[in-house]
Amino acid sequence: MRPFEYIKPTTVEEATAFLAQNAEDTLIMGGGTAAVVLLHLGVVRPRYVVDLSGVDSLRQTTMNGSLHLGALTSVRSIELDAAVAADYDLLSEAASQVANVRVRNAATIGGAVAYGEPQTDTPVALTALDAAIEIAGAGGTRQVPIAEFYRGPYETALEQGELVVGVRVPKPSTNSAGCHLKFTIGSPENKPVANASALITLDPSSGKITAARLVLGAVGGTPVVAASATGLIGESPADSLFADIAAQAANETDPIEDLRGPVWYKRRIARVLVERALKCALQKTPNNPE
Amino acid sequence: MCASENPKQPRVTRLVGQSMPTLEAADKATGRVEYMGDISVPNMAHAKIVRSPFAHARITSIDASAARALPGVVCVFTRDELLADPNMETLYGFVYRDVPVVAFDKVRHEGDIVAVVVAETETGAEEAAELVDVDYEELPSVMSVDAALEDGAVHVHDEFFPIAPELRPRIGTNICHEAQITKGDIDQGFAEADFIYEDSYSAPPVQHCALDRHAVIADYEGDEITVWTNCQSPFPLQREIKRIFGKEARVIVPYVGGGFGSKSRERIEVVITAAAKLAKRPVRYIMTQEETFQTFIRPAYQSWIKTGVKKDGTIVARHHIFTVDVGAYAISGARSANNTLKVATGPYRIPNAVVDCYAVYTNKPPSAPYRGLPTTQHTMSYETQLDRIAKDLGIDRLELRRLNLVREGDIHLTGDWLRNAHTHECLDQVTEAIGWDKPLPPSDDGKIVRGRGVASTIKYTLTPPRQMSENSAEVALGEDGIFEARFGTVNIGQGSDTTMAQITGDSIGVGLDLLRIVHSDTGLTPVDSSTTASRSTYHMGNALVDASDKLKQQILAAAAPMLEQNADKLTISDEGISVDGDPGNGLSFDELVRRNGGPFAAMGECIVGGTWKAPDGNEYPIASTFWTFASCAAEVEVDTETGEVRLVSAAASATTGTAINPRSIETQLEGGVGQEMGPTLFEQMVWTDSGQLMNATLMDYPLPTMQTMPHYEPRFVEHPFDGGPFGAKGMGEIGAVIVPGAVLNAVNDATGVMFHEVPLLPFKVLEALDSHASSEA
Amino acid sequence: MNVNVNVNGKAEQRDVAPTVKLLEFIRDVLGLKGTKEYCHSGVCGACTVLMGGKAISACSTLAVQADGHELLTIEGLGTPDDLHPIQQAFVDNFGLQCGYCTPGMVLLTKSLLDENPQPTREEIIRYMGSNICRCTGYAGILASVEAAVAQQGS
Repeated sequence: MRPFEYIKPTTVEEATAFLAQNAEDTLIMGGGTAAVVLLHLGVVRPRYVVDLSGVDSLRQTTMNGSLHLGALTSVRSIELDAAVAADYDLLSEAASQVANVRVRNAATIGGAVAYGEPQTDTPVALTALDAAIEIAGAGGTRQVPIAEFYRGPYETALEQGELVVGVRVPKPSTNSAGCHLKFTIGSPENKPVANASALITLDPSSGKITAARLVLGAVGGTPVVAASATGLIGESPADSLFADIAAQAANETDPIEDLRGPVWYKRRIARVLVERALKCALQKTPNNPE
Repeated sequence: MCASENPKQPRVTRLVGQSMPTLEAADKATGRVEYMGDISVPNMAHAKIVRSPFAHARITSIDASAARALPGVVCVFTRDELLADPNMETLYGFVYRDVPVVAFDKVRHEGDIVAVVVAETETGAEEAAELVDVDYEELPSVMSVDAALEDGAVHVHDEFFPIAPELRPRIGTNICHEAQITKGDIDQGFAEADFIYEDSYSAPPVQHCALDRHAVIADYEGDEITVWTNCQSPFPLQREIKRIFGKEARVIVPYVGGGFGSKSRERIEVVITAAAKLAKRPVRYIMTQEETFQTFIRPAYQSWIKTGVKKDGTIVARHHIFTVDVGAYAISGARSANNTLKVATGPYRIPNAVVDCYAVYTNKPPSAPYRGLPTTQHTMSYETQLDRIAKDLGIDRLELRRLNLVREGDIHLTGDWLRNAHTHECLDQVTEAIGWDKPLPPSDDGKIVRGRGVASTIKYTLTPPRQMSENSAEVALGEDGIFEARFGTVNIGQGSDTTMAQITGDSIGVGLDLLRIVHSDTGLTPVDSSTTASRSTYHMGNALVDASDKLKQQILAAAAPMLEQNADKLTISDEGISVDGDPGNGLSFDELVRRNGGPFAAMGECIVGGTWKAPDGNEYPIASTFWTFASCAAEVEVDTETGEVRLVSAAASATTGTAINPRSIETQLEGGVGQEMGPTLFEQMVWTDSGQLMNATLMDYPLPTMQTMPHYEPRFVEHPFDGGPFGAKGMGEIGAVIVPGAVLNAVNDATGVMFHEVPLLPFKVLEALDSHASSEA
Repeated sequence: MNVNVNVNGKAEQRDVAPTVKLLEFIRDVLGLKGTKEYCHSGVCGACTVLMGGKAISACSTLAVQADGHELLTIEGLGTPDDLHPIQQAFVDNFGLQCGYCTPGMVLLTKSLLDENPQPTREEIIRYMGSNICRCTGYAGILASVEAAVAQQGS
């Protein structure tokens, strides 16, 4: 590992003030699960490494009508939080599937979001949940809806000198339920072929779908928000409907061929996952007419 | 001769037959065991290797001056230093002398060794390695056997230096060995067949992924060269080092964290010793996980198999042709082909057969044996074809096998009279264990289909071409009254120390508390050929029985006058030597040694090879000292929407002879099945067309985990094998050998699709299922 | 940089460059060789240690990140003559062969049982699936963890 200067701020202001001067030469680290491996491989050779773990204000989680996660909240604590599981089940389900337990213990939600890796689970679920990303820079803070946050592989709306300080998740309606699925080759800890989050809201009296979000990961440079989800709205849930929508959603993806499979296969898996995620979400909806 | 049961003095077994944890288990569970990476010697410097980024290239220049100028760099070893040293041989290799100590004029695989940088610290060596400036002129490369065999293909080696007598290179090509084994007359056989089937199969390279990476510490100074390494064959390595450097050498192998064949031969020991010579101080080198993928890999395999059968399913003829992708250096690849000729036709009665093998150089990294060698791919080939034949003829898959499986006394392809050939019992055990006759769990939605399959196999062990001993063992009784067993078998995790202790303890008549083990140190333990090919329990076990018998004779002969008794009136027990019928009268072991004026020691051997006299009075060849037969029954689940194949359940059984440590045998079967399911379902190494490995790290190379684990049903067929220590044979590899055949057959049962290659990656399975569905429609 | 860390109950303080990984700190700076290394990418788990009671990969952590924390390595758990119950379970149930993955597996088991003293078989498999073993096929490891659970429950 090439030498670097290690900076450990204790406040967001300290961090952003440093970054205002040195962002180009700096690697920001939350839990280190990605950063340390990149440093070890020599993929990045920064002059500075800013370790955010000393910024205690980023550890807070609050739930008042919406979920606010400080950027340093570990993926594992999101996985295990009973309150998150109760009201934001889609997110805790996605968190539980990230890599392996050692990674989840150290990885932070801020890091998971900011890194911009096209195949990670939590950004996909957060996109389905219409989360907003809280960003801080030397000039102040701002919020960016997650749908605008991802621009391309490893490319986000973060300007130079900015960092993710939190994630705000609006509370899904009580008549909604979500499901996050991923498909991997071999063990579930491996890099996925695709993953998918489905979030649907059912009108308890009519039994019809009143809202739906379908988001796919690892099959595009950013999470793919399937426009075809709108085809679910106003309809009664049915296997044939889900199959149709899933086929359309798969066509909206833009996977690349790699070791995990050719393009046609990844689209097929995207279709299968959307179909299964929809069925799984339906089963979880309260007062499900089935 | 190897020890066998002596009817005059039947052995009492107290340890043999017991399922006991390994002697070192507590040390391993507490992290107290030292592996290569944990060993340091004083004044040790650290090495990094500069490796070729190209699969095939001429080295036009090497400039190490910037590296040498870096503070903290001790030296840099390149072809210049090698060629400048008149006292060092330049090539090594033990089957072919085809490996340059360090690259001379060209590199032959991505990762080939170009220079060694030695520095005070590992980081320093890494930094300096980046400063070694190498200019390459890229050459066309041959990245597959097919490419290497084409007319006009570039030659990986321009000259061949075969030193193993059985090698038959085809000069002017990339074929470093071709050979054939025949029995009967296959033209006649095929003429008599009612039906003839032809199929081809293939398997790509995978890597063993032992967590303990290859490592070496070499110290050239002193009267002898000392090399610490995790190589599985310390004595051949010792001989090579002596030959290359012209100096006495000692090779020490500590506990090894997994070998599986990836450490069966040397690759880095010689060049690091050369660097240590230049450095004039000990040098340590540990490779990274990525480098292990550039060091030894399982060879790519292809087979064409043609079988003639009668309409009742009797096999009358077989022609099997296979290729082994040796990689850039034939360190073991040629032998992988040659040694498995004798098992290619499987555990079946086939009166007419020809097997042809071709071992071919390519610009892939060198191949090494991978748990079972191509026996695994042979088994996949003939077992999968057998299921196809069964289906075509309308014969039950198990019945077809029972009709053709060998029995005790059958004459094998090699002319051997087959012993301990309990093939039917193996097959019965696994089919019963998996619940073959029970209905499969129903598929609730039709999207998950299920099936079962079997595979049976025959495996050899390394056997010399004439009668000789390939290993010795020594047992000593020292002043502390403890019996010390000294043997060269490397403890790679297979439980060897414990197996040998059980054998030695019962041979002498004492318990584990009175035993100590010294292993794998050419300075302390007698010679052994290698820890490979499931040979150690049999060969080293027998050598220890022999040594123990001789030691006992010595001890009793010495004690007799001390106790004023005849030796045959004395008994050895944990308390020492006692007089039969006179409990108060005896000697403790330490007292015996003291009165003897010094320790006792005896050397034992295991002599194998030659011919074997069968019950019919005739002498038969011994192509394998013992044969291991095994079967596997697998149950799979296939998700027809994703193509994912899951191994749900695996029953495996082998003819182990006497089970020295029953639970240990079961864990070898579990481990073998658990390991081979990876290459069967999802592991493969993938290169670009120009020879760069695409998946060198675990992030892109998926390994089995507890989440992919099947339910295991390990069994063994225990009939004592005359000639084995307490009747034991060997079985470390066999669990792996039977897996792909059984799984492919199970997938065929589930889906109706017969696959001819592994791994069964889900996109390949789905593609095949899609075609199958449309062709059925 | 100054790193203050409580290792196996003992306060340790060392001055190390920020580039030093926790794995190197444990093995080379503190001389505790029980923690192993293989993939250096957070996948295999051979380098598993407990930091603040949580299982992490020492290879994907900088030593400076451990400043102010408690570390448990395999050396802190038991000795060959006085095995921790989890270690005893691994010994008795053939949970190890070559032993290289074992320190990581034992510590991973400890973190599992500390968080969830009575896990179901599915929970065990899901959790222990985090670490790789090449020798056992995982059967012996599962049996060892289940035995440790049973022993804890009794």
